[in-house]
Amino acid sequence: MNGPASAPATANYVAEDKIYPREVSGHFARLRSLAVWVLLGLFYVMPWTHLHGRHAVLFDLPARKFFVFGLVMWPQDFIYLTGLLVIAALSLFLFTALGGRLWCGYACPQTVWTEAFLWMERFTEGSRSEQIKLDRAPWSARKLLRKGAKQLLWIGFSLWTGVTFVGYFAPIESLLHGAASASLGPWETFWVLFYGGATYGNAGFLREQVCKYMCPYARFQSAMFDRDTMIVTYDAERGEPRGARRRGADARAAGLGACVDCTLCVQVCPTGIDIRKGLQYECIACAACIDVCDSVMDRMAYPRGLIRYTTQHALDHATTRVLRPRIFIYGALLLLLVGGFTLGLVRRVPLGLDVLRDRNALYRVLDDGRVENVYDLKLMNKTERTLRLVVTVSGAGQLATDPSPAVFTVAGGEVYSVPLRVRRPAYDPVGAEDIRLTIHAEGDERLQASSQARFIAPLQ
Amino acid sequence: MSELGKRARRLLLVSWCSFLTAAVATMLVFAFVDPAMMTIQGAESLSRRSVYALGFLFFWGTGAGAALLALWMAGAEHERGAGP
Repeated sequence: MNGPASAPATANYVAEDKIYPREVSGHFARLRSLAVWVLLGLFYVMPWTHLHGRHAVLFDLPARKFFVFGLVMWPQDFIYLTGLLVIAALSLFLFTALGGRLWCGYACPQTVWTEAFLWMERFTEGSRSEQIKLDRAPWSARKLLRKGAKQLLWIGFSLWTGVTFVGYFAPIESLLHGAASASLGPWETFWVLFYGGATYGNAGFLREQVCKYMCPYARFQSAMFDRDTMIVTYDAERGEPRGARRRGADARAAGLGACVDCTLCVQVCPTGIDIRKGLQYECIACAACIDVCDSVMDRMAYPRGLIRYTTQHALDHATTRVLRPRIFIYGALLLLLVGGFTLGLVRRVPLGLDVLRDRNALYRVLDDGRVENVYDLKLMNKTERTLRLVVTVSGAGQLATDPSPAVFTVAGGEVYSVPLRVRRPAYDPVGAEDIRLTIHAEGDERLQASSQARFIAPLQ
Repeated sequence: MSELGKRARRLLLVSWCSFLTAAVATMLVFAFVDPAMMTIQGAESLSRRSVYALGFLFFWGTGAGAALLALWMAGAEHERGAGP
């Protein structure tokens, strides 16, 4: 694979001509359209979706709570987010090893939004050749109208994207209301413009340059590749020597391969490469060249698949193995992580307890001969309903709480801070000890959380 | 993009890489630090929202500074013929 490492460093900065990808139809183009509709649809609809009377997905940063499909995640649940990210990364590795750059071709936000922007461009400026003609033409009323309409669509769509993005962090209804009455907060305005601007710049102008120069995944994905990975490739053995010919002409007699050198594969390429030069790191495996080449092969009455999804081994007439060590390793790790993640989520207790020793005094000896330690408790009720939480204490000595029993009412989603006194006969042979403070919901022993603390007593 | 030169591309690279690291740093730091619990130079009037945003911009700025400096020094080395 021609990675950037083998090229001189300055090759990252060659000035290029604007690429006008030609529209293409076919099996893979339909797949990508489907992916665009599903993924963008999810993105734009989700902030409007409600579940049990609240937003289905809302990352409420000011309240430090994430609402995800009925689950309420607190900062203490950060481990789940980390787990999710690791699972996502491993899935990417597994799918890359199996299917090549499937992510790049169909699911990457860069691809998906660029595709949407291309649709708008074609809608306003016409086909590839019309766009090239329009760009070369001098400014006229028609050019202004077409370019203006495109910008209007792009900017409108970008702003809507920005609003939707911020809608994941603040209720989108109040956002729109704020925008309509020009009372949007400064940070909301900033982030809407920021994300909208990024969408406009990335999908409208940078496009394939993002994949070529900015994407870290594009640089390291070749590490997941081997000779059994699916790649989009040109069958040089069948295609060469390439050359133009009349339809129905006997190619073999003319000494020609199957490639008619129509250059359509180059014209449809969003990154502007020639797939016939072999696998290149710029290739995002969008398969536009497969679609367009198949249509040419159909017209020439040649078998399809001169450019196709295949593996290096298959091209070399060797056997392709789907099951190979790296697949097993990625797969096993992924299974393990998904299992652990699910188990953790199922067993997650929506209660939390933080215990801090009171800093003012180590201990206090009472008149009745007992010793007292004071702790600051933080009781976290991560459920949505009000709970009565019972605090109990256990340890080696005869410990008791004050008040006893220690029961506190904590509203749903609240953190309740309360001091708690723990007492014990002073001259217990145990001395200082580690104690365990436990809270459980009254009437539901399964809802339970505990925390350790140090109990300090005078020396014997 | 054809009109953007080497300098613009470098700026893109710097701002994008530092953006990525800033996003991760912001997430990590504010998962453990609650802005409501901290005071900045004795001022307590900043809302959580502002601290998150300012924190992100701060991480982005420092990251971009480091990347720019590294790129500049690597470039100087390259011109002397010593570096990659």
